[in-house]
Amino acid sequence: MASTVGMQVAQATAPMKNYYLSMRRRRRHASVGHWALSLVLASASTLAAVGCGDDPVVGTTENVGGNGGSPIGSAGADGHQAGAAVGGEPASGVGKFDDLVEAMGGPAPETDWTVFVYGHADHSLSNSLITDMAEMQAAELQGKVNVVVLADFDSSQVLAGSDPELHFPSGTEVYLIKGGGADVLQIASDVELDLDAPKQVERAIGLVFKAFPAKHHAVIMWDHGGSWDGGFGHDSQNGTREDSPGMAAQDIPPALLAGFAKAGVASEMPLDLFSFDTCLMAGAEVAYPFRNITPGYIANAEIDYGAGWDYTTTLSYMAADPNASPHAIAAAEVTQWDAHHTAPGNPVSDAVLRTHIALDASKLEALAQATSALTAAILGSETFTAADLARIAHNAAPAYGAQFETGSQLPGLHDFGQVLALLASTEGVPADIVDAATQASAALSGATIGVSLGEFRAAKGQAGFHIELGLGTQLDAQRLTAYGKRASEWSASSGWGELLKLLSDSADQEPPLVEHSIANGDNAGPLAIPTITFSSTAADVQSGRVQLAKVDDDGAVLVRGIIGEGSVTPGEEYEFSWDGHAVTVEGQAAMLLRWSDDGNPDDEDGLLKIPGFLKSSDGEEAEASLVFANGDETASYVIVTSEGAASPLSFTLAELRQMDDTGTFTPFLVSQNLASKAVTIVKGQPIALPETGELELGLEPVPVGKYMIVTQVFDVWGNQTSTQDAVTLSTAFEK
Amino acid sequence: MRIHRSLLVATLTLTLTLLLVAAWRWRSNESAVSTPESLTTLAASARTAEALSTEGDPAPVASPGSAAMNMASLAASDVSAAAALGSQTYGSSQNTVNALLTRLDHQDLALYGNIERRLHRDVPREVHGLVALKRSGAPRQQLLAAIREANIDLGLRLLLARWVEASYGVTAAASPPLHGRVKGSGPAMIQAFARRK
Repeated sequence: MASTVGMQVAQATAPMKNYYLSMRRRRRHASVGHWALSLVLASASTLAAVGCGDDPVVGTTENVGGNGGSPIGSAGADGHQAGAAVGGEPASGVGKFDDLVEAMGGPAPETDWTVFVYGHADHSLSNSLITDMAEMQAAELQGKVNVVVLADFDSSQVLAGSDPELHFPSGTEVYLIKGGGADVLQIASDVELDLDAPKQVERAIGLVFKAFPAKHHAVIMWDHGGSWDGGFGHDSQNGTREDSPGMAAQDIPPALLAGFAKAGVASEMPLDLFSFDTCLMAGAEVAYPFRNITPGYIANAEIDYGAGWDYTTTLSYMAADPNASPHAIAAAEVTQWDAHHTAPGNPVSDAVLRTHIALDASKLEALAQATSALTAAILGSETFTAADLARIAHNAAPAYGAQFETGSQLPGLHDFGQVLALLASTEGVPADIVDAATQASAALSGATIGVSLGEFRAAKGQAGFHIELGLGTQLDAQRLTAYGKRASEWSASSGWGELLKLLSDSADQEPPLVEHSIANGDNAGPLAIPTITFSSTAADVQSGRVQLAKVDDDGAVLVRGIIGEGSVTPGEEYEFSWDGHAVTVEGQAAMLLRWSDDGNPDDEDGLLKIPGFLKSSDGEEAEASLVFANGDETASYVIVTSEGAASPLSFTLAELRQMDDTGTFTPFLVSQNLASKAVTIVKGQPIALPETGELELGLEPVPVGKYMIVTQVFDVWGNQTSTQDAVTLSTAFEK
Repeated sequence: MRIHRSLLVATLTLTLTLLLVAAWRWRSNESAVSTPESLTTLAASARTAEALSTEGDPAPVASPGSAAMNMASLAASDVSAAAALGSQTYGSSQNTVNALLTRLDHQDLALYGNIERRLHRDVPREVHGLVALKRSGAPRQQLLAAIREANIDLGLRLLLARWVEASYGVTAAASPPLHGRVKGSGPAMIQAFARRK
């Protein structure tokens, strides 16, 4: 049996110098170089902005401007006149925020609940806050619930539906919502504030809960969220400030406590319910600091894809049963949120990736203690290595910060419940670590009041609660320092920061050494199946991937994408036999890629995609990828990235056909000249979008000729070794 | 008892409150917050929809929280409710939020939110015009035609088309069951490795 050792190309995947810096880069349009890279380098990773908190910032600059910020003036920062109330000046009939109680003639009569919404909308979400206030307005509050909204809009944003354009007001406004469809009342105005400052939280809590006393108190922080690092907020100051670090989550509870003290609420635990109606704030580092301030903590571990809270239903529920316990309300809210996000019209991301969790915050101390025991067991183990932990982290997928259209953009945020479950169930993990992980898992379950999970997450048994467990090569000194500052409470109590440091210290940039050979590279066919054999003794080896390319007579390769994949254990020898088939769409040659590179490579249930172009009846063309499950016989979803768009969108083919019955999808292959390295795109034939809304997929025998098989072997730190083998297919395989 | 005390406080301070309000209005030239001119005149200034045949063309569906195309309701809300009998009616209904809630359809607000959240960009000028066109009563086909003619990218075009269909109650094409399962029933397109020892 002939054996050929292929050319071995070792490459270290350059670690991203700054995790968030990479996030902030907008998605590149597919370029031919991009696809070619996916063949010879590590798997393609698109860098897209996260849907929420889309401009997380670098660094850990402390918040500034805690005393109210500086007045911006009466017009938008760009000179546009405000739409209604003029920033910096109270609207007629309403006074300044500081004088609210006096202007009202004293505090309002006590109600059952006061729900305060810290409406931090001074950025891209100004119109979205209006949408949610419409839901609040429609709630049946029956005089039992006062809803107060502090609203800071971005005056550089245009008011929805204004033509000619009008802009949101500058300044800050306070609204009272009585529900039942009644007018939303503005009850105070203020100058332009910096709502990223904890002192503004303290001040607002003090003023609102003094003016609107109630038996029960709820606070909803409404805005962008970015987990422990991105924090809450990012006040653009009417579009004039790009990079605010936001408010670290652990800075919020002290501000809340101080605010309630100012309001005269004398209670050890003054807050009955707290929620972040944002993205990415259901994480261990973020939730833990709230353990002593509220019994009920509600947030999303994942991006909120738009719908947010169902304010109408949940506020009506609170009014209908005002004596319900905070936990009962929290459980109901999760159920209502789930229905809100699974209703028709929500993005596909909601269906498959959403998370929303209600926690008994008082039990988070128990979780921290159990986690502390786990970290001690891991750090003290002589057999369980950092590479083992990194391997488990990689397999805990989908990671967070994910959209259906892009996959995860925050691959360091993993589901804590899934991580614990993997630690407890993976073969070879020492017993003391298994026990500790089991205890921590029980503590997390015990703290969970209710959870809503998208179907990808539910299928993996995720908990809907994330934790930082990033790639060691991305946990650089700057990031570890930031963790020590912005997640210090959790880190100190759980020891998790030490675990991250272990990953960071253990990471290397050395590609795994790979032994490799091929059989039947010449005269291959059904009776001489080309077979790759490879192994690696590197202790940190993680997985392998095999890709296929057709070699043309002129020396160019046509990439057909992935044909094989799996995990790789150190010292084990693996074999991959190519059966002479490759993927097709409607009988045409296509390129097969992973929807996302996250996850256990042995899983057969990951989503796949075929790239192409979507063309509309007016001739406009956009990059588009068919998305489907491994083993699907048809494709029915397409992800579209149009020119000029910062983020792709997903549609069903049926929906596209309904909009445009002459539209087409054209698959493409990437071609690269091996000598010149020049890369081009080779388009197939346009396929009319079918009435059925489904395009047929297949695995078809490829024609005889010369092929190249590329075997990539990855380690847990993201480094890879790539080998290329020539295969001459002399006899075609049968279908 | 606390309620009674509050009412008493409210009563005693009523005169003072009214005086304060009067003083405040005097300081601000006695002008209530003026409704922005273009908000009150949007309906009039919106392009008149061409008379297209609307047979079989659905009318816009008003969604919760909407008073689509009803500018009269904005005028009706122009009543200052400032400072009367304590906090029960304290506040002004003349404000940005109320103006928007009164005149905008939920679908329109959702469209703006989608553009901002999902396309990560400001709402293009063309969209404002399309929303105004819809509010003026343009039929579905006219809106779809306007979207096709607009100088916008395909992604936005598709998002707008989805907005039109939702606004006019046209049932979206059924979603195939991508969710509910994560693995197909056919042969795997990516093969696993075999261990040799």
